Amino acid sequence: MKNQMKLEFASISENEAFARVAVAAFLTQANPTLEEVADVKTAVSEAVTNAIIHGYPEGVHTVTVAAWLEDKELELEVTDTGVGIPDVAKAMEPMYTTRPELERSGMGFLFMEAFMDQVQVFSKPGEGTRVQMRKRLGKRDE
Amino acid sequence: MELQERGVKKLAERSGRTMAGVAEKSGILERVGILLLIRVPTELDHHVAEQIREEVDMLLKTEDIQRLVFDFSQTVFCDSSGIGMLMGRYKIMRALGGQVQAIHVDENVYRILRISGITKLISVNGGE
Repeated sequence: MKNQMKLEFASISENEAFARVAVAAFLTQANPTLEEVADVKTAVSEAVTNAIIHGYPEGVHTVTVAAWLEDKELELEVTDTGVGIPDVAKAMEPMYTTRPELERSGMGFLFMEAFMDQVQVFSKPGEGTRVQMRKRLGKRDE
Repeated sequence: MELQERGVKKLAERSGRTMAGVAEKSGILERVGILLLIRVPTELDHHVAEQIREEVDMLLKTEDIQRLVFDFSQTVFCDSSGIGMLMGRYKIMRALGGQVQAIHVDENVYRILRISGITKLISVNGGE
């Protein structure tokens, strides 16, 4: 069975909790382990926070989270139409941050990569950023 | 929990100060002498981290606080924004010659703290 969902919300920090809880609820049909739910919630939180802080440094705009579930395969996409990332490889380096004044730890992508099976970032300066992540769920059944 | 609280009281008594027990605006902070207890909410993300940072730093500017104790007993979620906030408070306390501690950390939160490496900088109890 294939299922899908799409959320659009304002880029305000209150919505970080909303986004990860909504994705966690969507996942339940795949019978994930508690650890898998925690992994996905962390990854969603990181990507959405990045969109809010870095994608849209000024003003409130729209963040989109889409998810697809086929059998136990989860695919997630977090998209903003903000400033974009000039150098994706650099942005993904652990401890790298463009906003040290905000006390960013520089570990957002590190956590996404640690908790998901695959993370890909597509970005163009001035057009926005799309973070695509995949994870196979229900490992306990295998 | 009880033991920890008694420890906190003892420390305050030893420091020769009275129990201040200041109720801050969000109710997550409690000052006990030179110690500031931060009751971390259920989810420590960017939104919550910003609130804690603002409130703690405001107190650190005006008060003589030498120990920050982050109580994670209610907390089930933490992401890199939470780590950034802890790291920032660690740097401030180090500069002031003080200490930072995280207590009652659950398994899931501990995993995040461990991966980030902050367990090497601050004392963490629970979660192992």
